[in-house]
Amino acid sequence: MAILIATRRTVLAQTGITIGLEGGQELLLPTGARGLGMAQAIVASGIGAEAILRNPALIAHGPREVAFNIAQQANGITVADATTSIVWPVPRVGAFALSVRYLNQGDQQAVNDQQVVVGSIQFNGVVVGGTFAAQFGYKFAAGLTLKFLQLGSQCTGSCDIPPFPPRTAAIDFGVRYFLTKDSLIAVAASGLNLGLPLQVNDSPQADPLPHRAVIGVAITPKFSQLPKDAHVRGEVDMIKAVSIGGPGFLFGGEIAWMDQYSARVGYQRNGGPSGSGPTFGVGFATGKLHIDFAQIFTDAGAGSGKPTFLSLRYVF
Amino acid sequence: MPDCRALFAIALITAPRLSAQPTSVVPRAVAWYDTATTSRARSVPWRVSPRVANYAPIASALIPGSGQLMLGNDRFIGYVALEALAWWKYAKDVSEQRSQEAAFKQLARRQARSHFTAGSPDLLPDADWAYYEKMRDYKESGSLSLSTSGPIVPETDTLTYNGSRWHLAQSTFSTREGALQKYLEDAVRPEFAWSWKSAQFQWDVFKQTTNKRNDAYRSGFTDLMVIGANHILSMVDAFSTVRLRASTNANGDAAIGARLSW
Repeated sequence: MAILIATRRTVLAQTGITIGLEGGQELLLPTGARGLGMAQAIVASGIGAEAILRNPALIAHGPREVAFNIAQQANGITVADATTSIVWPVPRVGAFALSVRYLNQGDQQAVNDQQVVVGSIQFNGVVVGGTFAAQFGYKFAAGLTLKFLQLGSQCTGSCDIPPFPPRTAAIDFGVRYFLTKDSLIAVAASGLNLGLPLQVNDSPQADPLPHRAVIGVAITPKFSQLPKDAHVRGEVDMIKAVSIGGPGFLFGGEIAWMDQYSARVGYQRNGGPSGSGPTFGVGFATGKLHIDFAQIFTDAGAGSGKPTFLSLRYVF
Repeated sequence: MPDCRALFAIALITAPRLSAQPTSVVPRAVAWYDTATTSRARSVPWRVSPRVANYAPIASALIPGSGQLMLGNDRFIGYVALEALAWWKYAKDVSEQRSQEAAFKQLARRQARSHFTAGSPDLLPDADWAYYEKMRDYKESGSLSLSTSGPIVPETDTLTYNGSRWHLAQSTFSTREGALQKYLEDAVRPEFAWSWKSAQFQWDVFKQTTNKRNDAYRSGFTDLMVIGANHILSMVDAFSTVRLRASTNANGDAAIGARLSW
Protein backbone atom coordinates (compact mmCIF):
# COMPACT_ATOMS: atom_id res chain seq x y z
CA MET A 1 0.00 0.00 0.00
CA ALA A 2 2.83 2.33 0.78
CA ILE A 3 4.18 1.67 -2.68
CA LEU A 4 0.81 2.31 -4.25
CA ILE A 5 0.34 5.64 -2.56
CA ALA A 6 3.90 6.70 -3.22
CA THR A 7 3.44 5.87 -6.88
CA ARG A 8 0.27 7.91 -7.03
CA ARG A 9 1.97 10.88 -5.47
CA THR A 10 4.92 10.56 -7.81
CA VAL A 11 2.68 10.57 -10.84
CA LEU A 12 1.06 13.74 -9.58
CA ALA A 13 4.45 15.24 -8.84
CA GLN A 14 5.82 14.57 -12.28
CA THR A 15 3.84 17.42 -13.72
CA GLY A 16 4.74 21.07 -13.53
CA ILE A 17 7.20 22.40 -11.04
CA THR A 18 6.22 20.02 -8.31
CA ILE A 19 9.09 17.64 -8.73
CA GLY A 20 10.03 15.90 -5.55
CA LEU A 21 8.52 14.13 -2.62
CA GLU A 22 5.70 16.41 -1.68
CA GLY A 23 2.55 15.18 -0.05
CA GLY A 24 -0.92 16.65 -0.33
CA GLN A 25 -0.76 17.38 -4.03
CA GLU A 26 -4.53 17.61 -3.82
CA LEU A 27 -4.01 21.07 -2.36
CA LEU A 28 -2.37 22.23 -5.59
CA LEU A 29 -4.90 21.01 -8.11
CA PRO A 30 -6.48 24.06 -9.72
CA THR A 31 -10.17 24.77 -9.96
CA GLY A 32 -12.33 27.71 -10.96
CA ALA A 33 -12.97 28.53 -14.59
CA ARG A 34 -12.52 32.29 -14.30
CA GLY A 35 -8.98 31.89 -13.05
CA LEU A 36 -8.10 28.94 -15.25
CA GLY A 37 -9.13 30.88 -18.35
CA MET A 38 -6.40 33.35 -17.40
CA ALA A 39 -3.87 30.59 -16.69
CA GLN A 40 -4.43 31.07 -12.96
CA ALA A 41 -2.85 34.52 -13.12
CA ILE A 42 -5.26 35.84 -10.54
CA VAL A 43 -3.29 36.44 -7.37
CA ALA A 44 -3.91 40.19 -7.73
CA SER A 45 -7.12 40.36 -9.74
CA GLY A 46 -9.11 37.24 -8.94
CA ILE A 47 -12.76 37.56 -8.15
CA GLY A 48 -15.08 35.49 -6.08
CA ALA A 49 -14.83 32.26 -4.18
CA GLU A 50 -12.42 30.57 -6.58
CA ALA A 51 -9.85 33.28 -5.93
CA ILE A 52 -9.48 31.95 -2.38
CA LEU A 53 -7.25 29.19 -3.67
CA ARG A 54 -4.73 31.72 -4.97
CA ASN A 55 -5.02 34.60 -2.55
CA PRO A 56 -7.42 34.67 0.40
CA ALA A 57 -7.26 38.47 0.54
CA LEU A 58 -9.23 38.77 -2.70
CA ILE A 59 -12.61 38.10 -1.14
CA ALA A 60 -12.26 41.21 1.03
CA HIS A 61 -13.61 43.21 -1.89
CA GLY A 62 -15.96 40.61 -3.25
CA PRO A 63 -19.71 40.27 -3.13
CA ARG A 64 -21.75 37.71 -1.29
CA GLU A 65 -21.92 34.58 -3.39
CA VAL A 66 -22.32 30.87 -3.60
CA ALA A 67 -20.07 29.09 -6.10
CA PHE A 68 -19.84 25.61 -7.52
CA ASN A 69 -16.84 24.42 -9.53
CA ILE A 70 -16.23 21.17 -11.29
CA ALA A 71 -12.99 20.22 -12.96
CA GLN A 72 -11.36 17.60 -15.09
CA GLN A 73 -7.70 17.62 -14.10
CA ALA A 74 -4.61 17.06 -16.20
CA ASN A 75 -3.12 14.28 -14.13
CA GLY A 76 -5.34 11.55 -15.57
CA ILE A 77 -5.97 10.25 -12.07
CA THR A 78 -8.63 12.52 -10.64
CA VAL A 79 -11.94 11.33 -12.02
CA ALA A 80 -14.13 13.77 -10.10
CA ASP A 81 -13.35 17.17 -8.67
CA ALA A 82 -16.14 19.29 -7.23
CA THR A 83 -15.90 22.36 -5.03
CA THR A 84 -18.62 24.38 -3.41
CA SER A 85 -18.00 27.65 -1.60
CA ILE A 86 -19.88 30.42 0.07
CA VAL A 87 -18.55 33.92 0.60
CA TRP A 88 -20.22 36.15 3.13
CA PRO A 89 -18.98 39.71 3.63
CA VAL A 90 -19.82 41.32 6.96
CA PRO A 91 -19.96 45.11 6.84
CA ARG A 92 -17.11 46.88 8.63
CA VAL A 93 -15.50 43.59 9.61
CA GLY A 94 -14.41 41.69 6.53
CA ALA A 95 -15.48 38.68 4.55
CA PHE A 96 -15.84 35.09 5.64
CA ALA A 97 -15.83 32.10 3.34
CA LEU A 98 -16.29 28.40 3.68
CA SER A 99 -15.35 25.93 0.98
CA VAL A 100 -15.56 22.17 0.62
CA ARG A 101 -13.80 20.24 -2.12
CA TYR A 102 -14.24 16.58 -3.00
CA LEU A 103 -11.73 14.71 -5.13
CA ASN A 104 -12.23 11.19 -6.39
CA GLN A 105 -9.05 9.63 -7.69
CA GLY A 106 -10.58 6.48 -9.03
CA ASP A 107 -9.78 2.83 -8.49
CA GLN A 108 -6.39 1.21 -8.36
CA GLN A 109 -5.50 -2.44 -8.10
CA ALA A 110 -4.05 -3.71 -4.84
CA VAL A 111 -1.28 -6.25 -5.24
CA ASN A 112 0.54 -8.42 -2.76
CA ASP A 113 4.30 -9.05 -2.49
CA GLN A 114 4.12 -11.50 -5.40
CA GLN A 115 2.46 -8.81 -7.55
CA VAL A 116 -0.81 -10.74 -7.61
CA VAL A 117 -3.94 -8.61 -7.72
CA VAL A 118 -5.81 -9.18 -4.46
CA GLY A 119 -8.21 -6.27 -4.39
CA SER A 120 -9.17 -2.82 -5.54
CA ILE A 121 -8.75 0.48 -3.74
CA GLN A 122 -10.67 3.65 -4.40
CA PHE A 123 -8.92 6.85 -3.38
CA ASN A 124 -10.61 10.11 -2.52
CA GLY A 125 -9.80 13.34 -0.78
CA VAL A 126 -11.70 16.09 0.97
CA VAL A 127 -10.45 19.61 1.53
CA VAL A 128 -12.39 21.88 3.88
CA GLY A 129 -11.31 25.48 4.24
CA GLY A 130 -12.37 28.53 6.20
CA THR A 131 -11.27 31.96 5.05
CA PHE A 132 -11.27 35.40 6.57
CA ALA A 133 -10.22 38.54 4.75
CA ALA A 134 -10.38 42.21 5.60
CA GLN A 135 -9.61 45.56 4.10
CA PHE A 136 -7.29 48.01 5.77
CA GLY A 137 -8.10 51.33 4.25
CA TYR A 138 -9.13 51.55 0.62
CA LYS A 139 -6.01 50.11 -0.91
CA PHE A 140 -4.81 47.25 1.22
CA ALA A 141 -6.43 43.90 1.95
CA ALA A 142 -5.18 40.79 3.73
CA GLY A 143 -6.64 37.38 4.29
CA LEU A 144 -5.92 33.89 5.45
CA THR A 145 -7.35 30.45 4.97
CA LEU A 146 -7.20 27.54 7.35
CA LYS A 147 -7.80 24.28 5.52
CA PHE A 148 -7.90 20.61 6.33
CA LEU A 149 -7.10 17.79 3.94
CA GLN A 150 -8.19 14.23 4.54
CA LEU A 151 -7.40 11.39 2.19
CA GLY A 152 -9.62 8.36 2.16
CA SER A 153 -9.43 4.90 0.67
CA GLN A 154 -12.08 2.23 0.34
CA CYS A 155 -11.04 -1.34 -0.28
CA THR A 156 -12.74 -4.11 -2.18
CA GLY A 157 -11.07 -7.45 -1.62
CA SER A 158 -7.86 -7.66 0.38
CA CYS A 159 -5.88 -4.48 0.80
CA ASP A 160 -3.29 -3.20 3.19
CA ILE A 161 -4.52 0.33 3.72
CA PRO A 162 -3.73 2.71 6.56
CA PRO A 163 -5.98 2.08 9.59
CA PHE A 164 -6.72 5.81 9.83
CA PRO A 165 -7.25 8.25 6.98
CA PRO A 166 -4.20 10.46 6.44
CA ARG A 167 -4.96 14.07 7.24
CA THR A 168 -3.20 17.36 7.62
CA ALA A 169 -3.86 21.06 7.97
CA ALA A 170 -2.42 24.05 6.16
CA ILE A 171 -2.64 27.80 6.08
CA ASP A 172 -2.80 30.11 3.08
CA PHE A 173 -2.26 33.81 3.51
CA GLY A 174 -2.26 36.67 1.06
CA VAL A 175 -2.18 40.41 0.65
CA ARG A 176 -3.16 42.82 -2.10
CA TYR A 177 -2.38 46.49 -2.54
CA PHE A 178 -3.78 48.92 -5.07
CA LEU A 179 -1.04 51.22 -6.25
CA THR A 180 -3.44 53.75 -7.66
CA LYS A 181 -6.64 55.24 -6.33
CA ASP A 182 -8.75 54.08 -9.20
CA SER A 183 -7.53 50.49 -8.83
CA LEU A 184 -5.74 50.48 -12.16
CA ILE A 185 -2.70 48.66 -10.88
CA ALA A 186 -2.64 46.11 -8.10
CA VAL A 187 0.18 44.05 -6.66
CA ALA A 188 -0.32 40.99 -4.54
CA ALA A 189 1.49 38.14 -2.89
CA SER A 190 0.43 34.95 -1.21
CA GLY A 191 1.89 31.96 0.57
CA LEU A 192 0.08 28.68 0.04
CA ASN A 193 -0.09 25.35 1.82
CA LEU A 194 2.03 26.15 4.83
CA GLY A 195 1.42 23.31 7.19
CA LEU A 196 2.40 20.06 8.77
CA PRO A 197 3.68 17.13 6.67
CA LEU A 198 1.17 14.61 5.42
CA GLN A 199 1.53 11.27 7.14
CA VAL A 200 0.16 8.33 5.19
CA ASN A 201 1.76 5.35 6.94
CA ASP A 202 4.09 6.52 9.66
CA SER A 203 5.81 9.69 10.76
CA PRO A 204 9.21 9.11 9.09
CA GLN A 205 7.35 8.66 5.81
CA ALA A 206 5.45 11.94 6.24
CA ASP A 207 5.96 14.18 3.23
CA PRO A 208 6.12 17.98 3.35
CA LEU A 209 3.20 19.86 1.89
CA PRO A 210 3.63 21.68 -1.43
CA HIS A 211 4.53 25.12 -0.12
CA ARG A 212 4.17 27.80 -2.77
CA ALA A 213 4.85 31.51 -2.94
CA VAL A 214 3.03 33.59 -5.53
CA ILE A 215 3.49 37.22 -6.49
CA GLY A 216 1.70 39.10 -9.21
CA VAL A 217 0.81 42.42 -10.69
CA ALA A 218 -2.49 43.19 -12.37
CA ILE A 219 -3.43 46.14 -14.52
CA THR A 220 -6.83 47.32 -15.67
CA PRO A 221 -6.05 49.80 -18.43
CA LYS A 222 -8.54 52.22 -19.88
CA PHE A 223 -8.37 52.63 -23.63
CA SER A 224 -10.10 55.58 -25.19
CA GLN A 225 -10.56 53.55 -28.38
CA LEU A 226 -12.67 51.00 -26.58
CA PRO A 227 -16.37 51.48 -25.91
CA LYS A 228 -17.09 52.41 -22.34
CA ASP A 229 -18.87 49.10 -21.74
CA ALA A 230 -15.73 47.16 -22.57
CA HIS A 231 -13.29 46.35 -19.77
CA VAL A 232 -9.85 44.88 -20.15
CA ARG A 233 -7.51 43.51 -17.52
CA GLY A 234 -4.28 41.63 -17.54
CA GLU A 235 -2.00 40.03 -15.00
CA VAL A 236 1.43 38.46 -14.70
CA ASP A 237 2.22 36.12 -11.81
CA MET A 238 5.25 34.21 -10.69
CA ILE A 239 4.83 31.06 -8.64
CA LYS A 240 7.68 29.40 -6.83
CA ALA A 241 7.93 26.25 -4.83
CA VAL A 242 9.47 27.30 -1.54
CA SER A 243 12.03 24.54 -1.26
CA ILE A 244 12.41 22.94 -4.68
CA GLY A 245 12.22 23.64 -8.38
CA GLY A 246 12.39 26.78 -10.43
CA PRO A 247 9.74 29.44 -10.77
CA GLY A 248 6.69 29.18 -12.95
CA PHE A 249 5.19 32.11 -14.83
CA LEU A 250 1.54 32.82 -15.52
CA PHE A 251 0.16 35.34 -17.98
CA GLY A 252 -3.53 36.08 -18.28
CA GLY A 253 -5.88 38.55 -19.87
CA GLU A 254 -9.60 39.19 -19.96
CA ILE A 255 -11.93 41.36 -21.96
CA ALA A 256 -15.50 41.84 -20.80
CA TRP A 257 -18.46 43.49 -22.42
CA MET A 258 -21.03 45.14 -20.17
CA ASP A 259 -19.77 42.85 -17.41
CA GLN A 260 -21.95 40.23 -19.05
CA TYR A 261 -19.83 38.52 -21.68
CA SER A 262 -16.21 37.68 -21.03
CA ALA A 263 -13.37 36.11 -22.98
CA ARG A 264 -10.10 35.10 -21.39
CA VAL A 265 -6.76 33.85 -22.58
CA GLY A 266 -3.59 32.95 -20.81
CA TYR A 267 -0.35 31.08 -20.92
CA GLN A 268 1.26 29.17 -18.11
CA ARG A 269 4.84 28.04 -18.02
CA ASN A 270 5.56 25.47 -15.33
CA GLY A 271 2.37 26.59 -13.69
CA GLY A 272 1.90 23.62 -11.40
CA PRO A 273 0.06 20.31 -11.71
CA SER A 274 -1.59 21.44 -14.91
CA GLY A 275 1.78 21.87 -16.64
CA SER A 276 2.60 24.38 -19.34
CA GLY A 277 0.52 25.62 -22.22
CA PRO A 278 -2.06 28.14 -23.35
CA THR A 279 -5.47 28.50 -21.77
CA PHE A 280 -8.72 30.05 -22.81
CA GLY A 281 -12.05 30.68 -21.21
CA VAL A 282 -15.41 32.30 -21.72
CA GLY A 283 -17.98 33.59 -19.30
CA PHE A 284 -21.58 34.68 -19.33
CA ALA A 285 -23.48 36.52 -16.64
CA THR A 286 -27.21 36.90 -16.48
CA GLY A 287 -28.36 38.84 -13.51
CA LYS A 288 -27.06 37.11 -10.43
CA LEU A 289 -25.97 33.93 -12.13
CA HIS A 290 -22.49 33.70 -13.64
CA ILE A 291 -21.34 30.77 -15.76
CA ASP A 292 -17.73 30.31 -16.78
CA PHE A 293 -15.87 27.72 -18.80
CA ALA A 294 -12.14 27.20 -19.30
CA GLN A 295 -9.78 24.76 -20.88
CA ILE A 296 -6.01 24.27 -20.73
CA PHE A 297 -3.97 23.01 -23.66
CA THR A 298 -1.28 21.51 -21.51
CA ASP A 299 1.74 19.31 -21.98
CA ALA A 300 0.98 17.48 -18.76
CA GLY A 301 -1.06 14.31 -18.62
CA ALA A 302 -0.85 13.61 -22.32
CA GLY A 303 -3.59 11.25 -23.36
CA SER A 304 -5.79 11.96 -20.39
CA GLY A 305 -7.82 14.70 -22.05
CA LYS A 306 -7.62 18.45 -21.83
CA PRO A 307 -8.12 19.88 -18.36
CA THR A 308 -11.56 21.44 -18.39
CA PHE A 309 -13.26 23.60 -15.81
CA LEU A 310 -16.81 24.81 -15.29
CA SER A 311 -17.93 27.29 -12.68
CA LEU A 312 -21.32 28.46 -11.55
CA ARG A 313 -21.64 31.49 -9.28
CA TYR A 314 -24.72 32.96 -7.73
CA VAL A 315 -24.07 36.48 -6.52
CA PHE A 316 -26.63 37.93 -4.17
CA MET B 1 -36.73 44.08 -10.77
CA PRO B 2 -34.63 46.85 -9.31
CA ASP B 3 -37.67 49.00 -8.46
CA CYS B 4 -39.06 46.25 -6.36
CA ARG B 5 -35.87 45.89 -4.47
CA ALA B 6 -36.59 46.12 -0.83
CA LEU B 7 -34.20 46.77 1.89
CA PHE B 8 -34.78 45.02 5.13
CA ALA B 9 -32.69 46.10 8.07
CA ILE B 10 -32.70 43.79 10.99
CA ALA B 11 -31.12 43.29 14.32
CA LEU B 12 -29.64 46.63 15.14
CA ILE B 13 -27.94 45.87 18.35
CA THR B 14 -26.52 48.69 20.31
CA ALA B 15 -23.75 48.94 22.78
CA PRO B 16 -22.20 51.82 24.68
CA ARG B 17 -19.18 53.75 23.55
CA LEU B 18 -16.14 51.77 24.46
CA SER B 19 -13.60 53.31 26.66
CA ALA B 20 -11.30 52.49 29.47
CA GLN B 21 -12.96 55.27 31.41
CA PRO B 22 -16.23 54.76 33.26
CA THR B 23 -19.18 55.69 31.13
CA SER B 24 -22.64 56.79 32.01
CA VAL B 25 -24.19 55.35 28.88
CA VAL B 26 -26.45 52.47 29.78
CA PRO B 27 -26.49 49.73 27.16
CA ARG B 28 -29.88 49.01 25.67
CA ALA B 29 -28.91 45.53 24.66
CA VAL B 30 -25.91 43.29 24.50
CA ALA B 31 -24.26 42.60 21.19
CA TRP B 32 -23.48 39.00 20.45
CA TYR B 33 -19.88 39.75 19.91
CA ASP B 34 -19.28 41.81 22.95
CA THR B 35 -19.71 40.16 26.30
CA ALA B 36 -17.79 43.05 27.85
CA THR B 37 -20.91 45.19 27.79
CA THR B 38 -22.62 43.16 30.47
CA SER B 39 -22.79 44.84 33.84
CA ARG B 40 -20.58 42.17 35.32
CA ALA B 41 -17.92 42.55 32.70
CA ARG B 42 -17.89 46.32 32.93
CA SER B 43 -16.24 46.00 36.29
CA VAL B 44 -13.44 43.82 34.96
CA PRO B 45 -10.28 45.66 36.01
CA TRP B 46 -8.06 44.49 33.17
CA ARG B 47 -9.87 46.25 30.35
CA VAL B 48 -7.43 48.28 28.37
CA SER B 49 -7.70 51.49 26.44
CA PRO B 50 -9.13 51.36 22.91
CA ARG B 51 -5.71 52.15 21.51
CA VAL B 52 -4.11 49.16 23.17
CA ALA B 53 -7.16 47.07 22.33
CA ASN B 54 -6.30 47.48 18.66
CA TYR B 55 -3.48 45.04 19.27
CA ALA B 56 -5.87 42.43 20.61
CA PRO B 57 -5.87 40.39 17.34
CA ILE B 58 -2.11 40.09 17.44
CA ALA B 59 -2.22 39.10 21.07
CA SER B 60 -4.84 36.49 20.30
CA ALA B 61 -2.78 35.10 17.44
CA LEU B 62 0.12 34.61 19.84
CA ILE B 63 -1.84 33.47 22.87
CA PRO B 64 -5.46 32.49 22.18
CA GLY B 65 -7.84 34.28 24.51
CA SER B 66 -5.42 37.06 25.40
CA GLY B 67 -7.03 39.43 22.91
CA GLN B 68 -10.45 38.68 24.32
CA LEU B 69 -9.04 39.31 27.78
CA MET B 70 -7.73 42.70 26.66
CA LEU B 71 -11.14 43.50 25.26
CA GLY B 72 -12.84 42.37 28.44
CA ASN B 73 -14.72 39.53 26.80
CA ASP B 74 -15.69 36.57 28.93
CA ARG B 75 -15.14 34.09 26.15
CA PHE B 76 -11.39 34.30 26.56
CA ILE B 77 -11.91 31.44 28.99
CA GLY B 78 -12.98 29.15 26.17
CA TYR B 79 -9.91 29.85 24.07
CA VAL B 80 -7.56 29.54 27.03
CA ALA B 81 -9.18 26.30 28.13
CA LEU B 82 -8.98 24.79 24.66
CA GLU B 83 -5.36 25.89 24.28
CA ALA B 84 -4.36 24.45 27.62
CA LEU B 85 -6.22 21.23 26.98
CA ALA B 86 -4.70 20.81 23.53
CA TRP B 87 -1.16 21.42 24.75
CA TRP B 88 -1.66 19.07 27.66
CA LYS B 89 -2.89 16.36 25.33
CA TYR B 90 -0.06 17.04 22.90
CA ALA B 91 2.51 16.64 25.65
CA LYS B 92 0.81 13.43 26.68
CA ASP B 93 0.86 12.10 23.13
CA VAL B 94 4.52 12.98 22.61
CA SER B 95 5.38 11.24 25.86
CA GLU B 96 3.39 8.20 24.76
CA GLN B 97 5.14 8.21 21.39
CA ARG B 98 8.58 8.23 23.00
CA SER B 99 7.56 5.58 25.47
CA GLN B 100 6.35 3.26 22.72
CA GLU B 101 9.48 3.89 20.67
CA ALA B 102 11.66 2.90 23.59
CA ALA B 103 9.48 -0.15 24.19
CA PHE B 104 9.61 -1.60 20.68
CA LYS B 105 13.31 -0.88 20.31
CA GLN B 106 14.04 -2.63 23.58
CA LEU B 107 11.86 -5.56 22.59
CA ALA B 108 13.65 -5.83 19.26
CA ARG B 109 17.07 -5.77 20.89
CA ARG B 110 16.28 -8.31 23.58
CA GLN B 111 14.10 -10.71 21.63
CA ALA B 112 15.08 -10.50 17.98
CA ARG B 113 18.63 -9.15 17.89
CA SER B 114 20.16 -10.65 21.00
CA HIS B 115 21.01 -13.89 19.15
CA PHE B 116 23.52 -12.02 17.02
CA THR B 117 25.70 -10.47 19.68
CA ALA B 118 27.96 -11.85 22.33
CA GLY B 119 27.64 -8.72 24.46
CA SER B 120 24.71 -6.95 26.02
CA PRO B 121 21.83 -6.55 23.53
CA ASP B 122 21.14 -3.11 24.96
CA LEU B 123 24.41 -1.95 23.41
CA LEU B 124 23.34 -2.87 19.88
CA PRO B 125 23.23 0.11 17.52
CA ASP B 126 20.00 1.99 16.85
CA ALA B 127 18.63 2.64 13.37
CA ASP B 128 15.98 4.68 11.62
CA TRP B 129 12.31 3.80 11.27
CA ALA B 130 12.78 2.01 7.98
CA TYR B 131 14.82 -0.62 9.78
CA TYR B 132 12.11 -1.30 12.34
CA GLU B 133 9.53 -1.35 9.57
CA LYS B 134 11.48 -4.21 7.97
CA MET B 135 11.38 -6.03 11.29
CA ARG B 136 7.59 -5.80 11.18
CA ASP B 137 7.41 -7.19 7.67
CA TYR B 138 10.00 -9.98 7.80
CA LYS B 139 10.40 -12.57 10.53
CA GLU B 140 14.13 -12.88 9.86
CA SER B 141 16.73 -10.66 8.31
CA GLY B 142 18.71 -13.58 6.92
CA SER B 143 22.46 -13.60 6.56
CA LEU B 144 24.41 -11.03 4.65
CA SER B 145 26.59 -13.84 3.30
CA LEU B 146 26.09 -17.59 3.41
CA SER B 147 29.85 -17.96 3.32
CA THR B 148 31.84 -17.23 6.44
CA SER B 149 34.92 -16.34 4.44
CA GLY B 150 35.81 -15.27 0.95
CA PRO B 151 33.47 -13.52 -1.48
CA ILE B 152 29.94 -12.56 -0.49
CA VAL B 153 27.38 -15.31 -1.14
CA PRO B 154 23.98 -13.65 -0.88
CA GLU B 155 21.13 -15.06 1.16
CA THR B 156 18.80 -17.18 -0.98
CA ASP B 157 15.84 -17.73 1.32
CA THR B 158 13.28 -15.32 -0.09
CA LEU B 159 11.25 -15.43 3.12
CA THR B 160 14.02 -13.47 4.79
CA TYR B 161 14.63 -9.78 4.18
CA ASN B 162 18.11 -10.21 2.72
CA GLY B 163 16.93 -13.10 0.58
CA SER B 164 14.09 -11.02 -0.83
CA ARG B 165 16.55 -8.21 -1.65
CA TRP B 166 18.81 -10.62 -3.51
CA HIS B 167 15.86 -12.03 -5.42
CA LEU B 168 14.73 -8.51 -6.34
CA ALA B 169 18.24 -7.46 -7.34
CA GLN B 170 18.62 -10.48 -9.59
CA SER B 171 15.36 -9.71 -11.34
CA THR B 172 16.30 -6.05 -11.74
CA PHE B 173 19.92 -6.25 -12.95
CA SER B 174 21.15 -8.20 -15.93
CA THR B 175 24.61 -8.85 -14.52
CA ARG B 176 25.57 -10.59 -11.30
CA GLU B 177 27.94 -7.75 -10.46
CA GLY B 178 25.17 -5.17 -10.70
CA ALA B 179 22.79 -7.29 -8.67
CA LEU B 180 25.44 -7.92 -6.04
CA GLN B 181 26.21 -4.23 -5.72
CA LYS B 182 22.54 -3.43 -5.27
CA TYR B 183 22.22 -6.27 -2.79
CA LEU B 184 25.08 -4.92 -0.70
CA GLU B 185 23.43 -1.51 -0.64
CA ASP B 186 20.09 -2.84 0.59
CA ALA B 187 20.93 -5.90 2.68
CA VAL B 188 20.98 -5.79 6.47
CA ARG B 189 24.46 -5.93 8.00
CA PRO B 190 25.32 -8.52 10.66
CA GLU B 191 25.19 -5.96 13.49
CA PHE B 192 21.56 -5.25 12.57
CA ALA B 193 20.49 -8.84 11.97
CA TRP B 194 17.29 -10.07 13.63
CA SER B 195 15.16 -13.15 13.98
CA TRP B 196 11.69 -13.51 15.48
CA LYS B 197 11.89 -17.27 15.04
CA SER B 198 10.39 -19.01 18.06
CA ALA B 199 9.19 -15.61 19.28
CA GLN B 200 5.88 -15.21 17.48
CA PHE B 201 4.16 -13.70 20.53
CA GLN B 202 6.94 -11.11 20.98
CA TRP B 203 6.78 -10.32 17.28
CA ASP B 204 3.07 -9.59 17.59
CA VAL B 205 3.73 -7.39 20.60
CA PHE B 206 6.43 -5.60 18.60
CA LYS B 207 3.96 -4.87 15.79
CA GLN B 208 1.32 -3.67 18.22
CA THR B 209 3.81 -1.39 19.93
CA THR B 210 4.86 0.19 16.65
CA ASN B 211 1.20 0.70 15.83
CA LYS B 212 0.66 2.38 19.18
CA ARG B 213 3.61 4.62 18.50
CA ASN B 214 2.10 5.66 15.19
CA ASP B 215 -1.27 6.23 16.84
CA ALA B 216 0.37 8.52 19.40
CA TYR B 217 2.11 10.45 16.63
CA ARG B 218 -1.14 10.79 14.71
CA SER B 219 -2.97 11.95 17.80
CA GLY B 220 -0.28 14.53 18.53
CA PHE B 221 -0.57 15.71 14.95
CA THR B 222 -4.29 16.29 15.42
CA ASP B 223 -3.55 18.19 18.62
CA LEU B 224 -1.29 20.55 16.69
CA MET B 225 -4.04 21.15 14.14
CA VAL B 226 -6.46 22.03 16.94
CA ILE B 227 -3.91 24.38 18.48
CA GLY B 228 -3.36 26.13 15.16
CA ALA B 229 -7.07 26.48 14.53
CA ASN B 230 -7.57 27.89 18.01
CA HIS B 231 -4.95 30.59 17.40
CA ILE B 232 -6.55 31.62 14.14
CA LEU B 233 -10.12 31.59 15.41
CA SER B 234 -9.17 33.62 18.44
CA MET B 235 -7.38 36.14 16.24
CA VAL B 236 -10.30 36.50 13.83
CA ASP B 237 -12.69 36.80 16.76
CA ALA B 238 -10.64 39.59 18.35
CA PHE B 239 -10.22 41.33 15.01
CA SER B 240 -13.97 41.26 14.36
CA THR B 241 -14.71 42.62 17.80
CA VAL B 242 -12.23 45.47 17.41
CA ARG B 243 -13.65 46.33 14.01
CA LEU B 244 -17.22 46.30 15.27
CA ARG B 245 -16.35 48.39 18.28
CA ALA B 246 -14.61 50.88 16.06
CA SER B 247 -17.78 51.54 14.13
CA THR B 248 -19.64 53.38 16.86
CA ASN B 249 -22.44 55.77 16.05
CA ALA B 250 -22.41 59.46 16.77
CA ASN B 251 -24.47 58.94 19.91
CA GLY B 252 -21.92 56.53 21.30
CA ASP B 253 -23.65 53.31 20.38
CA ALA B 254 -22.11 50.52 18.42
CA ALA B 255 -24.22 48.97 15.73
CA ILE B 256 -24.31 45.79 13.80
CA GLY B 257 -26.80 45.04 11.14
CA ALA B 258 -27.64 42.96 8.15
CA ARG B 259 -29.46 43.76 4.96
CA LEU B 260 -31.57 41.34 3.00
CA SER B 261 -32.47 42.37 -0.49
CA TRP B 262 -34.49 40.67 -3.19
